[in-house]
Amino acid sequence: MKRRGSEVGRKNKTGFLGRSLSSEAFKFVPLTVLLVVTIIFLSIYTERFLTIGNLLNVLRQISYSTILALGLGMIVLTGGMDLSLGNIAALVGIVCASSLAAGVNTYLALLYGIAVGVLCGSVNGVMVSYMGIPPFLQTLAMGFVTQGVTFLWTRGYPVYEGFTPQFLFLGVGYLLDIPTPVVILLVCFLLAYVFISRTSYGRYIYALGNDEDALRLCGINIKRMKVLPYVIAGFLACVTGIVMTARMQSGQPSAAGLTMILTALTAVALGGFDLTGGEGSLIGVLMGGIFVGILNNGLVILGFGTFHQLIIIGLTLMGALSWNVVRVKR
Amino acid sequence: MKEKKIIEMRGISKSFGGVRALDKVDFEIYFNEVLALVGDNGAGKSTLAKIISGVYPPDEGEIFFEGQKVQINNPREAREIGIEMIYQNLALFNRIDVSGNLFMGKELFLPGIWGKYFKFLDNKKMHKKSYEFLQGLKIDIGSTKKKAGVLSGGQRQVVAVGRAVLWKRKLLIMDEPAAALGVKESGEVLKLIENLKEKGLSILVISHNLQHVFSVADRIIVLRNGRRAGEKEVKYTTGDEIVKLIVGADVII
Ligand SMILES: Nc1ncnc2c1ncn2[C@@H]1O[C@H](COP(=O)(O)OP(=O)(O)OP(=O)(O)O)[C@@H](O)[C@H]1O
Ligand SMILES: [Mg+2]
Repeated sequence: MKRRGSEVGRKNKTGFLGRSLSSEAFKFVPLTVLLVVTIIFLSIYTERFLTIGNLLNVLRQISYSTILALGLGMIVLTGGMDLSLGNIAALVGIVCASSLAAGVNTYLALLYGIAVGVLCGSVNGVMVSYMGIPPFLQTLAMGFVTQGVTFLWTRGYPVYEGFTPQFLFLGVGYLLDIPTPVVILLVCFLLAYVFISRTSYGRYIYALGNDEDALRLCGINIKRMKVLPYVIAGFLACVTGIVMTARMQSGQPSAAGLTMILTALTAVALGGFDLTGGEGSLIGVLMGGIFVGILNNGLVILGFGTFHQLIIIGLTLMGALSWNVVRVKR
Repeated sequence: MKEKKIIEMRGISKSFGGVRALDKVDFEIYFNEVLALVGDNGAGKSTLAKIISGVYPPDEGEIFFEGQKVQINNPREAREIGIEMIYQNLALFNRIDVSGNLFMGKELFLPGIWGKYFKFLDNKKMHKKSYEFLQGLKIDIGSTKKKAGVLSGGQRQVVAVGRAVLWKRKLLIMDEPAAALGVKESGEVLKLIENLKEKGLSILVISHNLQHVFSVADRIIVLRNGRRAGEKEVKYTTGDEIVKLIVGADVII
């Protein structure tokens, strides 16, 4: 009986990141197996896959939707959903691109973009939390609104004038030989991970998905707490929109949208998130994002087109969701 | 008056539509006392407990807590003055660990700016404190890193009660705490109640099991059809006497 107490002390040596990584690792066994099998398969059957250049390319491709997925994951933890994040990202890209085209300086252009995205996220959060609108409907509506504004503003044409070197760096640059979008993804992941697993806000987000009434009785302001992940996700959608726009060197009205949410949601589902809330780890989101990226990349290398990709990703999402349901029921 | 009362209720009535669940009930619990509230099904025990813990307002009557007249409008207000009801379906966070459950809403933060401005949790300290705390209640729950969802019914009681103690509640209300538990677990809950009394808490236990009542309570109050049918000190009464009070047989004979 006495020995049990020392268990607390013993594991602390590895530091908090190492500790939570090791204790959570076993949850990702199926995903890891899937990842490894796919990598081995693609390495054997294609020549192009296993090259540094291609792997960095995969990481860069997944960075946009995975940054988005980190925010979506937080929302799903509370039992919510956000279908508008892709459209918010596209709108943010257009806001930044148009500002640059109008000669606004880089930092101010970024600020405008972020302000718009965070505002959209906040509106989602407030409507869901304070008005009690079902998240699916609220965010679907927000998706239409942002898409409408984007197309009205640009009349459907891309915006590509006045891009500054600083802005472009965010999409096409390298830091220590690693593409900037990948570095930004890693930074976002680390910040989000520490936030969700180490702060009281993160704990309340989990607790919200576990039992809202019980959390209220603990004296936590439930309504305010519920808004928070939508705001954070809105911000992460801004990062996605900015990086994507810089990468394409133009603001594309139809850059993101539902396809991106489909990809992000697949990463979240693969990461073991229970869509009723309360369970899931952002490490899973990162791994899920990488898997989807590799899958897409492999399909391209094997000669399949965009429509095949859509079907495969959609089926993967269904498979992951079913697996999660079966796993929870056991 | 022999001892000080932690709570006193006078002339409490409560009706649900046509049903008079409580009819001018007087009720009191002394400091550091384990009071058992017994009575037949539908006698009004749960209703009385819910009035104390702020779930329902009474139709009539006055409540005094630690000598002060109070109005308890909701469970939050009850908690604020130090009353906690342990619900039959225990409100724990199943996918959060024991330490997280104990400290929910009252977390310990890292020292310095990390804790103060960024709200970084001091998980190490919370695990250590949880462990020591559960040891203090003489309870072995295993690791404080277990998720609440994997705990047994008795262990869940311990965590729920532990949270109340950690939050410095003074009066605990337990409605049928052993109802869904096996023999061994019921024994653990009874032991827990004894330990809580040792820690200085006052406890109201509702139970149908007179054996449990006699092993843990100091005093028994009997309700019958929403009225107070009697009061006995455990030391000076017998099971027979209590049963008669519960069913009202003493009146007939
Ligand atoms: N919310 C309610 N609405 C309507 N009637 C109620 C409500 N709660 C209790 N009652 C009625 O009030 C009476 C007392 O109920 P209460 O639950 O207090 O009994 P109890 O002594 O706890 O019984 P048991 O031992 O079965 O738990 C019963 O007749 C019951 O049907
Ligand atoms: Mg009852």
